[in-house]
Amino acid sequence: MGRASRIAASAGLAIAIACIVRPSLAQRAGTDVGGQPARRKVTKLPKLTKFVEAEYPADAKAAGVEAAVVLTIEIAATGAVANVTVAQSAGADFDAAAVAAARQFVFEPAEVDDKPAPAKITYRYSFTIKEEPPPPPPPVNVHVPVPVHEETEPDHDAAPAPASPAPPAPDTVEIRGRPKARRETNQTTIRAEQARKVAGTQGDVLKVVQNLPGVSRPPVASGQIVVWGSAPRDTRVYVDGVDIPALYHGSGLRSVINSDLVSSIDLVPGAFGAEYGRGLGGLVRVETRALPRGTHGYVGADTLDGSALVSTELSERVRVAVSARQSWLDRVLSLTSAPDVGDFFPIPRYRDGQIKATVDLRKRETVDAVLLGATDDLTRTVPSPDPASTRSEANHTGFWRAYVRYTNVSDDGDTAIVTPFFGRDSSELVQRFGPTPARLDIDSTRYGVRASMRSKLGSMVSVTTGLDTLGTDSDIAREGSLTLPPREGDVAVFGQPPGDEYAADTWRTNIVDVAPHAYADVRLGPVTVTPGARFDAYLIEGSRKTPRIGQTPSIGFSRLETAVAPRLSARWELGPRLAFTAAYGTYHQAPEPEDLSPVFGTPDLALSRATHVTAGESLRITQTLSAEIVGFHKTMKDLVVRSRLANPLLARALTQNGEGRSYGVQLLLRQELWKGFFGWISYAISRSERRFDGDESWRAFDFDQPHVLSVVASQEVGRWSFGARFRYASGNPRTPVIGSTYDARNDRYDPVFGPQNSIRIPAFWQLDVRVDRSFALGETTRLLLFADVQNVTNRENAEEIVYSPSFRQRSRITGLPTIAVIGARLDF
Amino acid sequence: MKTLSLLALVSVALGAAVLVPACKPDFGERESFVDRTEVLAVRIEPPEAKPGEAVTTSLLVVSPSGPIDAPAASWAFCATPKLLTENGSVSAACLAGGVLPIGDARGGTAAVLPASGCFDFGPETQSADVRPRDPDITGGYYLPIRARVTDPSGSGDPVTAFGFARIVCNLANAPADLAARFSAEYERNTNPTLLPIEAHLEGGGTAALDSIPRGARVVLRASWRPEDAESYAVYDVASQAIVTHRESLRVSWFTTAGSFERDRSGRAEGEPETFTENVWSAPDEARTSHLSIVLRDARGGSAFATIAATTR
Repeated sequence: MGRASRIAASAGLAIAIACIVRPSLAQRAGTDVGGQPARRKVTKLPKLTKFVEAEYPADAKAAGVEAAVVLTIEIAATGAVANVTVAQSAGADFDAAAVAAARQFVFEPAEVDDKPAPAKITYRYSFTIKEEPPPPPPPVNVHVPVPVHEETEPDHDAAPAPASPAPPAPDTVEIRGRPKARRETNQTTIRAEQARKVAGTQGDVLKVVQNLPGVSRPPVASGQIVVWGSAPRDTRVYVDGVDIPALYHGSGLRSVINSDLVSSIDLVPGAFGAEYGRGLGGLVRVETRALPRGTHGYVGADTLDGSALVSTELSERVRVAVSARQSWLDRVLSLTSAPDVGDFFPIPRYRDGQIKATVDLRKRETVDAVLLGATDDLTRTVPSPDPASTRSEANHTGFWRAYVRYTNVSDDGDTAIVTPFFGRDSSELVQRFGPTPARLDIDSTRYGVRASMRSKLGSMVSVTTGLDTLGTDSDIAREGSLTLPPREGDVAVFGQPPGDEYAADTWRTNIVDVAPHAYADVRLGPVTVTPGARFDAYLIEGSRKTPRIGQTPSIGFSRLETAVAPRLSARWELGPRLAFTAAYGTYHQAPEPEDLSPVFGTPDLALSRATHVTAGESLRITQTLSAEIVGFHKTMKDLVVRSRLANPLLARALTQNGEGRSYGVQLLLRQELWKGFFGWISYAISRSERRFDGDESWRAFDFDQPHVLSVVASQEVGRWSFGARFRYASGNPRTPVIGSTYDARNDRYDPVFGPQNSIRIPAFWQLDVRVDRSFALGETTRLLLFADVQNVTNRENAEEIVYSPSFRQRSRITGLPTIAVIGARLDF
Repeated sequence: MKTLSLLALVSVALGAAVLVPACKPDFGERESFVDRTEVLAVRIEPPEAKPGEAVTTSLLVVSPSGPIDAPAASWAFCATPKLLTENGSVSAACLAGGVLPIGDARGGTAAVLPASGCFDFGPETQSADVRPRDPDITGGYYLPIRARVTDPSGSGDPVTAFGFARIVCNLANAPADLAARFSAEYERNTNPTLLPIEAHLEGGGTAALDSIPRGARVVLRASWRPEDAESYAVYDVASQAIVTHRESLRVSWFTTAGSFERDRSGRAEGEPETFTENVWSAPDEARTSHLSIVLRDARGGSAFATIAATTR
């Protein structure tokens, strides 16, 4: 063969060792990698069975030049090479030769849990001038999505192989239990294991959402999510594609899903694709994790609550996990805190539970059955010798969802997913301000199915078609003042009693949305374009079009509202490091069932609408350090607001005269895991405004926060882990009180207001820290102790503006001071 | 306010959580303490009337130096109903030009309720297509009467207060038979009667109001007649039936010196007692304190009294 080109055996061997060692390290440490359990078995790495020698570029060979090209090779479940891209160039000639050769490789496919699985490997093709022909090396940096479909977006998890032998990094093997959700243009994804270590989250993976770019700081003890200036109720939360009513328990202290069942969490603050709709705001997607083989679990407790999870393998094909959580913070607070804390930050008693079972039907065909449930309860009474001053509140919220997710991946990567679901949401709110009661009970049955089929049409185009249906059948009872519960745009001060007018109504609604949708991922060289469209047909039915009068039979209503929502996103890769993105979409949202009352609302409400436009740039500074900048603009129309009339028409207490707009720029500088360190800096400057149709001027949105900064950092040192989080946020707008008048009937002062939302709560900043240490207690048992200290500087952050009873004095309620949440968990 | 509780410190020592309360602002302002010229009550006689009927109004205005006799006030009917977006008792327009002037008078005035009262502030509408206004929990509708009181000292802005005349209107959204029955059964509200205030020293012993020991704790009892807790018919919009309720009564306590233990007290609908008590801590100096007691019933009726208490 003479001086022939050959794969460099030395580098290949070193990397091969890395591949073998890394999974075992991850397994021993119990580390989630890529948001998935490391205990999930990669039972076989892809093995190169047909090696094709690259043609050494003649000029380089003549000049004695050697080089190495790092390739990313996608291997189908059949073992065939599906795609080859250059991850690290060595020059055009070397690149072309390496790619041409690699395309002819044949592998024995990777296997996960003994089943063939598609894989993505990083392959270093070295051009050396040697005499002897060494055997082909095994691949390096294996990524094994199981099953997988071709991903159109860049895989940010893949790292090129080092140019020289390097110590193994922990994040090198990625196992996914299902097809990866399509990556949205403006998506921020956090791995579960990283999210757990963020200070201030108390180990709750889903609480990390509050620190992602584009998310406003929620009020203390609030689980609201405000993204890009949209109202909290305009943002949708999905678990495995199934809609749930809230991501957090009512206090905002915990998420409603056990963190150990979470694989990853995606935040899409706007301009998302055609798969999703029904919301004018953003999108939060939670993916549950694949269940590991064997028996595993944990028991944990901290100041907030206690929880446990156990998963086991019932048979070769069936695995099941059960988890539960019960809070006790309310009881801890009652022991250690002054009673007035509950006046401002009532802590409900919460609990949640999950059951997940996975059945492997055949190769690449699985069924997941999941049951989720959560409840919150709060009861408190502030007694008074004055019957007009007695306040009481009883609040119960809860939901459960049961769904079955069927997944089938064909040999060529086509993927079908069908997820039928059923569940109930309940909310019971009873309040009493003196003699006037306020009650709102909503009991909804929710059902539907989400189905999608993704097919690859050639090497450059894949098409996804789907159907997203949701039915919501609600029974609602309400009594009290029109102004309670409050709405966005209400002019009031904190603690102000609602109006003493009293009305009552019971009604029923049924809203069914059937939304077929389709989109295509078209790869045109460096540009990936994703056009899509969604057609929503809403059937809106109600039991009553006019208020009830005695025994007069009610007249119901039924109508069809339709909306076509085009979506378009594009990504232009200007090289391996730089990409530009842009996205556009229109969005629609049906009226809330509680707004369709003929007494408290308007049965004729139609769809609210929004348009999102974004443009951005992402820059990969190093392999693990990246920067992103995104500009966004949202316009909202036909928002539901209160009628401004003193005497509106019958059954027209609400109108759709609301308009909104929000715009801004967000930046994210993110360091992925590197030498035990990860973190990010996110900053958003934005403006969100509302106005009544026809008003000349805009006012600040109730949740508008022009500046939001989050700095998150975490460092592992041996078995220790240290983390810190710094947050800065502008205060929410408030309407100033410029005087007062005396109400002699109710014996109280009423505020006289200045311009709406023309002042702000003072800005917020807070530093939180976290430290944890793990102890190995045997082969598979680990004890983790952690302390999560919030507000270490004991800063008195203003959470609300309050006034004296006569409104002559103004002050602030400050948030919680230094709090240390200390806990432990035992993993087995 | 923002201090670590002892128990929290113990918790730290035990390796538990540090939990301390949020900071609740203390304005140092008691509703029962009169430190400026205030309107404490607007009494309307009769408290419930039909639009077109005459009512008289009277004011209780107190300054730190005592009650003001026949205070000068500018009176007006509020002519603008509040919008659905307004959370307070009256429309902001009634602070400006959205009123029907009655005139300036001292102490009180007499006027005829505007004939449009039930349309502007009640449930009656010009068209069946218009949403009727909602009543309060007692089934009542109220027409605001604005009193703008000039501070006799000449300092400060005028004090604005609203009295509310309960207006007799037809029922809205009720079947005709129930509406007729309601009209037959409903009895208009009358103002309660505040009986003479009784006082004794805490722990026993009578208290002569002109000779109270400095710093003494005086138990004051405000009483009313049993018939002042009137029963009344209400068209319950939830059950769409006529039900009977009994008035609750509450007392607001005010003082120009010393302090009351509670700012307000009273009896709920289910409590049969015809009195309520409060403890007044006399000032630690020899002086005359002016105590004001305002009795209100659930349907907008009121009565008031002022007494002087001298500490020696």
